[in-house]
Amino acid sequence: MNVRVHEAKAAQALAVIDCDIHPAQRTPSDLHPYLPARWREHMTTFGAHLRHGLSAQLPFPRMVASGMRVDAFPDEGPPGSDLDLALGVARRLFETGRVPAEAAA
Amino acid sequence: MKVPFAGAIDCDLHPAPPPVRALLPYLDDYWREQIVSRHIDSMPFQLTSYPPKAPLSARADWRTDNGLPAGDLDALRRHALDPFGTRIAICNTLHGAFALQNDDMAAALCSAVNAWVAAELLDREPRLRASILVAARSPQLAAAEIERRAADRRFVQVLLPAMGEMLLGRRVFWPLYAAAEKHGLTIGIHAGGTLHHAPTGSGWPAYHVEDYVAVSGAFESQLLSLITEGVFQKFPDLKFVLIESGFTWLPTLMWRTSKTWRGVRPEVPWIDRPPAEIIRDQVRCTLQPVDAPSGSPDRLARTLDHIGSDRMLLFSTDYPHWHFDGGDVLPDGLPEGIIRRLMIDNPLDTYPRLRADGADCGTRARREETVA
Repeated sequence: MNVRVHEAKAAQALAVIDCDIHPAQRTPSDLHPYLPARWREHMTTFGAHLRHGLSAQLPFPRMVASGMRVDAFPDEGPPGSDLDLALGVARRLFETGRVPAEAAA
Repeated sequence: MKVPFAGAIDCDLHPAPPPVRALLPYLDDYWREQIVSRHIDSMPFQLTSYPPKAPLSARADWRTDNGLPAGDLDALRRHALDPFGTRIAICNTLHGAFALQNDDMAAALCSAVNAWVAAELLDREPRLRASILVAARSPQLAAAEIERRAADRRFVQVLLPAMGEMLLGRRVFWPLYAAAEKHGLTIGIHAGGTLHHAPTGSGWPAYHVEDYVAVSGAFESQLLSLITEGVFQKFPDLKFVLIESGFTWLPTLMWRTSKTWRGVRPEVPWIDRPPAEIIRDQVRCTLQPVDAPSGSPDRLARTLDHIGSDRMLLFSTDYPHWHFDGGDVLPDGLPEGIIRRLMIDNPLDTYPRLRADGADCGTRARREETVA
């Protein structure tokens, strides 16, 4: 028999499953351990050969902070390249609806 | 072979584009704030056409301590001007701003690059001249930039990429050509492009070598468009300089276009003489990279004979791109007479501002000097 929700006694916590976060490599060379030497050399010399005229950036620069949360930038590398920071920001967001100043600093 | 005398006019060399942070003083308040708050000031604006670490993009002995080819003015003097006895050199600063999608941002950054070139290069080295960088997709904004720079006569040319969004003969570009012709500027069409379209008619290639070789096809398409749309009749005083285009493909294009035109000329009745003649009159090509086999002097002489003119080639080092070693900037097999023409006379005949401003004062007289 189903327990009516309003009669449930146990403490409850909201579990959130975030279905879209974007990890990033800190530098392009972070991929090197996973690439054969031939492609490491190609990427280093010629780059990724993106299908537009600017080889290392978007041809549509985004708005504030390249379209990223300003509190998502680690000391080095792009947002998403520091897993602890990324998960910390995401967790605090869901727990409190905002990120405390110390997490953003 | 080396240049046999001093006084050359180098019609294509490439100072390293400045980082965006160096452009901030040359932007207005709105763009300065936008560039910083959107992190655009940390973007490299490198062109896909010239990967900075690719061997072709810079000779190893021309790379400087900051890692950039042609990274500072002293290196440019030491590597590109002094060894060739260069009297005048035209800077084509290949900043990627023209490949942006946002026309206003592209125009603002191109304008800032031009102001930077004037202050940081032209003011500091009297041998340098420069091309005006514009974003051609908005010809009105490009024409406005030409007007803005026109009073500074050290700018001698307007720079367009070989591959943009529309063929360059189209009438949408004519205001840009009108502004250039009015001010005695040439139109320089440089290898590479915005890549807003795939660089081949059948989509995207997989490798840089395909991009690099395919660009001569883009030059052929642009030349055909300029001819058939009547640009050379509309702007009879305007010269077009194909930069890093190569030139060994010219004879077949000239011959085929002239032959086909004879059969179908009622379609384009404004073309009043064979296209090959129009090309010889109003189109020029820079020397490097020489797209002819080395070690066979006769072949190069025959190609030039097929082109049918000794006035089309303009001396260039294409510094810092790696096309030759040491000082051997001239290909073996160039006829003696053409060396004088391409090093001095042809550039003076091509660029009205060099001619008018007396860049030839002493140059023609000094050309017999031997490079030390």
